Amino acid sequence: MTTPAQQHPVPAGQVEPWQDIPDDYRAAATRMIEFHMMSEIVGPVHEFRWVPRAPSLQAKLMFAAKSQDEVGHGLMLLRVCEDLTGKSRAQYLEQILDGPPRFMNIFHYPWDEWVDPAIVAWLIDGAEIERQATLLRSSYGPYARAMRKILKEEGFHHHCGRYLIGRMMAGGPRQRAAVQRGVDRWWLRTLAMFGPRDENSRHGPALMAFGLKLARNEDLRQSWLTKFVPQIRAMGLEIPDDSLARDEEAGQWAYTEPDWAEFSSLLRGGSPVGADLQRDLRTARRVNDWLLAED
Amino acid sequence: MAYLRIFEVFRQKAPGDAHQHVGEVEAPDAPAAMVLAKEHFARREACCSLWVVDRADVLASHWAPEVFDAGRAKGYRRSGGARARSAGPA
Repeated sequence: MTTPAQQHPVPAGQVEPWQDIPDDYRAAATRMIEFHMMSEIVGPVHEFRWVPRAPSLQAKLMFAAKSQDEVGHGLMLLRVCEDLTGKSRAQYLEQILDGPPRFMNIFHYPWDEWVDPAIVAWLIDGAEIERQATLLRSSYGPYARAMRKILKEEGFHHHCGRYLIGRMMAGGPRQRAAVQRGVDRWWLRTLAMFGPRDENSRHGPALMAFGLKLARNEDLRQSWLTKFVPQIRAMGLEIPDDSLARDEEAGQWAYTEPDWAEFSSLLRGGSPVGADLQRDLRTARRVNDWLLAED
Repeated sequence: MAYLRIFEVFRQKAPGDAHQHVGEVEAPDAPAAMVLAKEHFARREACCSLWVVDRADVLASHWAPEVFDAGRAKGYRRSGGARARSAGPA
């Protein structure tokens, strides 16, 4: 069996938008980067909602800065997508506001209490760092370059999350119980976020062959577990998985599988929560239309 | 939104450094691009100066990478120094 990269060799080294790019490389890069871009633009809608409800001035400042960062990442990736596909900003805005919900699974769940944004910043931005650190070497040059700024800022978000969770754990029993509820809710969603193993991943192997993606989902998940299992326990929290164990010889974690059917249904069909985020963005676009109107 | 143009952004981190390309912004004109570039690229990281350049004003080379290799075959520029002396008269 030949891999897509063998069928259509891509230029050696980094690929730049002005080079001749094989159609299937361009299609694979577009799918991957558009997904990342839409996640960075839709996701912060959850965060905006928590800025006015943050429990302290410090937390409010952190979340205002974090959501500004995330939208900034979306903006950089929008530029990468525009150069890659030739679509205009207006076309992309239409796609983000009214198109199919192609964004990360974690934004399809409700963020109902303060612990939700804090857990997402701690665990999921931590998971994103794991993946993005490898993407610094992605074969698509503009994407790899955008990753430098993105990665730096995700580091700040992760530290904010850890700080806020630490503050709650130093509080009373009700706060600690809330954090434990948060870990219970977000554990499997976070594991799922890395995506299925190679054998069940529709696009993963092709993205690896093109050098667009540098590490397999399962390897990233394992490396996240190695870092975060001790971190979560050191915080005084329990991990809601009885089969979680590390095989020291193989250097691999065993864990309870997330619900992969739910994962793919969210990525393909979306959810009421996700639809609500897109609706908020449409409202924001409408009320600011007077500013953007051409005349 | 057809009035938007793409501006390449260059940032100087500290006095004495070169301005380095850090990304792009889209804006209706250069002053607006400068405001966006400041907010986007100089919000967190060190910066003492920014340039924005309309992408339409950039002339990019169209030569294949090999064209630039030709300039490197200049062995005669390396005189040999001490080695040449110890080799004695030719």
